[in-house]
Amino acid sequence: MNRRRRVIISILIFVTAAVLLLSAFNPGFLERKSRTSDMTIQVILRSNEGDYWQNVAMGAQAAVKEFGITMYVTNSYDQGDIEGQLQAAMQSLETKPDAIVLAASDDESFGPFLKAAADRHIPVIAIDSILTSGKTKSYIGMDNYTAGKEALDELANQLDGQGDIAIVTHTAAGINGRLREQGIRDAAANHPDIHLVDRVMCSGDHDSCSASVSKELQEQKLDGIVAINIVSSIGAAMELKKEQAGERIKLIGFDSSPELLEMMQDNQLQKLIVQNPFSMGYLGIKYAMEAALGHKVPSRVEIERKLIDKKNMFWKDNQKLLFPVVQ
Amino acid sequence: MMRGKSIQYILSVSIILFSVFIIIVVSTVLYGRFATTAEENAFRNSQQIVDQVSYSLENNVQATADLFNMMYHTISLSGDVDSETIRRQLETMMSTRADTVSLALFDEKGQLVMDLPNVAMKQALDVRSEGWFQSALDTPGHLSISLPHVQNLYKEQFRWVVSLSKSITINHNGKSIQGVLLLDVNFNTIDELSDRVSLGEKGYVYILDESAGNIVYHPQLQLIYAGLKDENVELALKHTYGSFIDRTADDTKIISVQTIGNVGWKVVGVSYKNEAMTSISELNRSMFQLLLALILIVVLLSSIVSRRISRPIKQLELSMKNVEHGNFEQTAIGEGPLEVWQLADRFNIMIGTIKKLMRQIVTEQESKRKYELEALQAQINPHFLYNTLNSVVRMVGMNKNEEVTTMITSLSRLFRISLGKGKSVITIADELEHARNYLVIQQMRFKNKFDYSIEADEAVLNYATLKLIIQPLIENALVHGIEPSVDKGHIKVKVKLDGQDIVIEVSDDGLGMSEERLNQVMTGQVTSSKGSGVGVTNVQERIRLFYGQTYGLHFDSELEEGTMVTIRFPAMELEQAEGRDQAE
Repeated sequence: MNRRRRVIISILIFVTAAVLLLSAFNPGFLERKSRTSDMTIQVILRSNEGDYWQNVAMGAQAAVKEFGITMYVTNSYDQGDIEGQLQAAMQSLETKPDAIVLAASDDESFGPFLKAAADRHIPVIAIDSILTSGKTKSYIGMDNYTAGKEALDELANQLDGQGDIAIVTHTAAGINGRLREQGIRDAAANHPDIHLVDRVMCSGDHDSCSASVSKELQEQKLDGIVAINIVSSIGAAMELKKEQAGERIKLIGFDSSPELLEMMQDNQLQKLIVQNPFSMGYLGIKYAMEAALGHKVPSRVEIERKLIDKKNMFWKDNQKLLFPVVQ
Repeated sequence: MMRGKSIQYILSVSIILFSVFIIIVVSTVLYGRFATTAEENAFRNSQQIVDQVSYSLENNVQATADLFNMMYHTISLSGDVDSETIRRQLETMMSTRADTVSLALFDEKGQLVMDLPNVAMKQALDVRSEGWFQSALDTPGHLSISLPHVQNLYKEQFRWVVSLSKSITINHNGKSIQGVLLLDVNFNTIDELSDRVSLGEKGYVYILDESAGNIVYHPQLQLIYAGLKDENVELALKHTYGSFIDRTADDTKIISVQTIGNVGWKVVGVSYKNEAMTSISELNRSMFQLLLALILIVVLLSSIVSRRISRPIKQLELSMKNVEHGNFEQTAIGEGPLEVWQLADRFNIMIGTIKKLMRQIVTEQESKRKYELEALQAQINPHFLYNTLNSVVRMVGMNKNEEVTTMITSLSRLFRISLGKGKSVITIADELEHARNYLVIQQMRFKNKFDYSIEADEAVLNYATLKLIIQPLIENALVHGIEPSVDKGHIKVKVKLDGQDIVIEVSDDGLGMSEERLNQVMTGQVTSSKGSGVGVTNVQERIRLFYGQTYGLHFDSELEEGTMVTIRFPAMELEQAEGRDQAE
């Protein structure tokens, strides 16, 4: 070993030792940042109003606390504001989140967004509404088609298998609304004496839905109604209550709110199909995090739905589901 | 184990092994200490927080129960519950606490007697099916505190409350009847209190109902109901107080339990052990890095130090190798540590001594040889003596008295110089005298078969010469040149000064010597039986021993022409040469 090489090796050893010492006294000096605490997840919701979305946010929050990640939430005031939501979503890509949890208002419109996210290798987890216009890592939500079928079966059951019914749908019902409606229509075919006579389209708040239902009731004699989302459910129930038609016309709704539950106690509606938005929010964040870490996530996670009626609404576990916010 | 390994290796390995051992021992001890302390701290922290939460809750519940009892007594002691004064009193009491929601009084059949504030109740309601009503009647005189639930009494209100209820005897419309008093307290206070508690980053607190194991409060209650989460309540139910380790889940948890006596709830703190031990794992990593760094530094240092020590030793070894090959002139350079330095010094001294001893031996050998040669040379060949005396006898018989006298005189002179005074150095004059006497004797013996001449510069006569160096050469000339020749020969001795040297030439015009013969003479293989017994080689050797290797004899011989032997040695005064002789 000549002198020069010896000197070089000595210097190398010395430098290595110095780096190690420095690292030993300053933890994190050599460490790469790969912990979840440095991860940001963008959550894009359809709305921030109503128990449903608040519950989603609460679930997400619970996951944030558990996994120690950072979460940003954007949401539109109006569930039907597809353009606004898409714009917000596109903007959020610029902040380079590690993953995105998306409850989309529309399927086709979000195709470009999903492509942009894929180009940036940002995993997208769809919650609440399934997306088919692009690639998502996972869908977490209710099986809306089956839920629609279940709603119709339940209504048929209430009507003892015969009667004229109508669907009350809403412009902001989005992807889920379409799937539920499809389920209802397909299930109706199985009940020969159940006739789906009309489809009421309403928009805006529940008062305008009430008006649409009122108009429908004047034109048509109905035995039952399936309301496809929360606004149309409330609108229909309020109209039935106003007309004192609750006993006569059966109503099956989707999702819950205190006023709906109260009207259910007053027999204005019979059943509500309720999902667990808290779990949805929680799982959305959890799988977004795992996808961001490169783990495998299931491509479809079905959130259990519950059929709520007057009897079971105060059961212990349903209380927490229906009244998530302690106030 | 260390046999045959270099000092550098031994030093490095032992220093590294020792340091690593020390570092590992220290790290292990420190780590153990630290880990234990951290765990104890985590336990204590968790327990303290849980204790505080349960203390606050207990206070809260106690205060609520006190309020309830106060109202209870106010109502049961009053003459008529419907009276306005009672109502105002109760209102004042209720306003003392912000979290009271409502107060209601029912009779045994579930009919409302009084409520505060006056909010419309649900029409279709039968309170007899409500839990709080049942439990109040089932255990008379006992205050029932319900689990938090959504109160289903009032219109357009679904509030999370904890219901306190107790059976009561009241005076209503002049009659004494049995009833149930209900106080609803907002669960919000407890919810917020529990929610605010943080045990580390992920840790949380939940509240458990002791009797049925129902969860009163849990931050992830929805997930538990949905089956997405699981809370292991077994451990908490088993203990009333203390902190425990729960290893049932993937992450090891620290469970701290404290029971709230008055309501039968348990506050359970859940914190994650690895969170509390983060500092430990960081410390662990730091220690490991420290260990590596120290090992590297030790390797570096030990290699430097050991090289510092071993390099001078290696250099010393190199010097020794030189000595081994007979080079005594190079001295070892003393550098490096003191020991090596001293070793080099000692080595140099030793080499010096060896050199001195060797010189001494050479000198001794040389002088010994010289004395031997001198002793040899001092011998007069008895043959020569016999021949000479024979000649004398013959001459006496022939009455050649004058010649006898000359011969005897020459012989005596020859012996006188030959013996000298034991000295090996004489003047050139004496040496020439000796040669002349020898020549005289031989001339007489050989009946004038040759004649001779001696030439010498006046200047050289007083210079010193080794004794008896010319005579052997004359003898050589006689034996090899003159005697075998049929003609009358001539022997010439000539001494001259050539620069600093004295040159003595002994030449004859005899037969001359062949190359072979010359060699034999030079190597001393031929000794004349007729000569004095002191060979040419003896002369050569003596001159070289005395004056050095550059001096000595030189032969020029040609067959039929004769031989000339030249002696060359430095010119020295007699005293100088004698001094040199004695010094040796």
